[in-house]
Amino acid sequence: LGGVVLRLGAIVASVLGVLIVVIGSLLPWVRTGERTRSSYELAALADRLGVLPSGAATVAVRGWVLVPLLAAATVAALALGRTTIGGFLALVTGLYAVVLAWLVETSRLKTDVGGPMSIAGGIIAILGGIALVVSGVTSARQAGTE
Amino acid sequence: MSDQQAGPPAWPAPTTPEYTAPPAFTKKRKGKVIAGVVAAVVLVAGGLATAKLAMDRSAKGGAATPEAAVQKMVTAIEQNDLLGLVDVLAPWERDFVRRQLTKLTKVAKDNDALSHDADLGHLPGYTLRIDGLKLDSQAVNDHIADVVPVAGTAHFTGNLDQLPVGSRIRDAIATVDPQDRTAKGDVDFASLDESSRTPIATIKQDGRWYVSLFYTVAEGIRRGADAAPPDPAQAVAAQGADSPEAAVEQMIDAIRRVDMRRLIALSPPDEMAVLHDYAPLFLDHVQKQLANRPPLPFTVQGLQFTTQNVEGGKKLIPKAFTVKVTGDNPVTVAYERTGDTISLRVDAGDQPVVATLQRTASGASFVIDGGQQGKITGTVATIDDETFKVHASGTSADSRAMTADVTVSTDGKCIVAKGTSTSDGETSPIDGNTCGTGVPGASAIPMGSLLGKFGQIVRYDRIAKLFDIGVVTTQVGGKWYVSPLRSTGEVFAGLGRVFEGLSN
Repeated sequence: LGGVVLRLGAIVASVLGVLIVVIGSLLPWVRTGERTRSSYELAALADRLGVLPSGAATVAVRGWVLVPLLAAATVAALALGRTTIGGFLALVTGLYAVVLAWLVETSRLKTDVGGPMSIAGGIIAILGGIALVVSGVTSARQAGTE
Repeated sequence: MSDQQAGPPAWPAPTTPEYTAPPAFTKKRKGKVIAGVVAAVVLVAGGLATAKLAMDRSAKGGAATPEAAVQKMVTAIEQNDLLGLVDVLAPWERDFVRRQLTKLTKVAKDNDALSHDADLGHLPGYTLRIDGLKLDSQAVNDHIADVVPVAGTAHFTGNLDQLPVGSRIRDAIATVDPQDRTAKGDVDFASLDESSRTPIATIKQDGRWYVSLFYTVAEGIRRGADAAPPDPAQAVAAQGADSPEAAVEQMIDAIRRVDMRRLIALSPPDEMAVLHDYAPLFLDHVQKQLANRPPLPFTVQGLQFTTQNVEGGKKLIPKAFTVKVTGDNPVTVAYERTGDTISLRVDAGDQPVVATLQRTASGASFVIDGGQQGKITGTVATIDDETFKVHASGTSADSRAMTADVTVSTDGKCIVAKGTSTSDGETSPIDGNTCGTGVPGASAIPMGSLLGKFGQIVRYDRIAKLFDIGVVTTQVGGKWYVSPLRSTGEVFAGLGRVFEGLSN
């Protein structure tokens, strides 16, 4: 019963985590003057102003628009009972959100509520995702030994 | 014969097919269907959200109409949003302004003109609110439109105390009467006559309208001169060179021939689009004025460059060249930079003057050799980050000699010179202190401090940065152009690099 509860908790954490990430990404991340910008507006502005460093960072920022799709894929996989895949997607979404939001939070920009919210959601998604992936891998190993 | 008869084949006994009931629509199956529907709906929603965000992101900024572009600019100003203000500019101007802002902010902070915690994202010191703004646009040609405010009231307040300036400027502001540090005003656009309404020029690029600083200035000048709108068909066609080096060489040749049209054609068609567009309004007049003028009396020979990649282009730093100025007073200037040695030879009369600066282990050495006119040699030795010593010795044409060490006194307030001077066979000591202030009225800057800064600057590594100033070329459509704005910016940036991080 403990395992079932833990698994259920991990699923809830994964879904909740990615949802918070998406909601956080739509909320204001930075404030310039009296204007606030969401993560997507900030990413587009940074791209237009040419302030993105070249290489992986640029790809990561440009790919940020995929976050709602990643979150949706997480929820869809979990709804279909593919918990390991769902957990893995939650882990990726959470890590992506935490890293990007952390970079913005530690920059010289005046930050707003969206970033911390995405970090919080990201951490919840990471924990849920890890639990599901570990549980999935363990179950697969046990099935293999039987 | 056997009784055995061959009978008909035996048919299998008929069986009644076993009835299997269709699987019951169980709770489990129902759950799977619901899960599938949920998954599909969530995936479609996520996909749509991503597609919408991606489409918003692919928009290149700007606005659908000239009025909307100016409205975005006004909103950014009202919100003290510098990033938003930069974002409404035409793409090339946006890049230029962003680059210059970044560089200038750093220099301004280093030199205490801006406070160290100044945030460029936020423009403090003023409030602006415009009620009932109505904008009207007038097409100048197919890609330029002037936008003017025709109605609305602007309410403005300004406060010097809130400006993010450095401590020195803040101290100066503190001396101003508190009442004079604030300003307040209202402007009713409807009551302004047409000549008082400054048009803001917008330009169309890839189907979107952007505010343009350069076109606004150009339009202001054109309207002031009462000239006809620029005709796109008459614009100066861009004509770049095949390489960055060729672009610079062709630019020098165009300067020598005073060929304005060629100079404009060699400027980048994106960055200098305004010049290409508006040049026909004045070019014919200028060319007529210069028609009978002979080429400028100089030639440049042996031009060699060191090429550096810079953001969006290549910077060409002169490595060697000889400039010959002909005419009544011919002068030849030869410059060469080899490794850690910079030399300059000037032939302007009977005797050439050769100046050489060379890196040494402790600083730099210099020689200024005027032949029979005299010679000065010396070293600049860096003692530590703050102090240095100049040792110089020289002889003049009339056999006077001097050798001296120049340092800053230990309290940093005076310049101390010690050495000997020989004239007509008599040697006399040099032992002097120069104290006080270097700048009249600037009691806060002692002479020693100024010399201390000079000592930091004349180190080889710093002074050599002056000779890193070059010409910036950019590539557009496979051809190379000389960027006048970026090259000018490079001069200021080069000076900034020399003074960068000097201790106050």
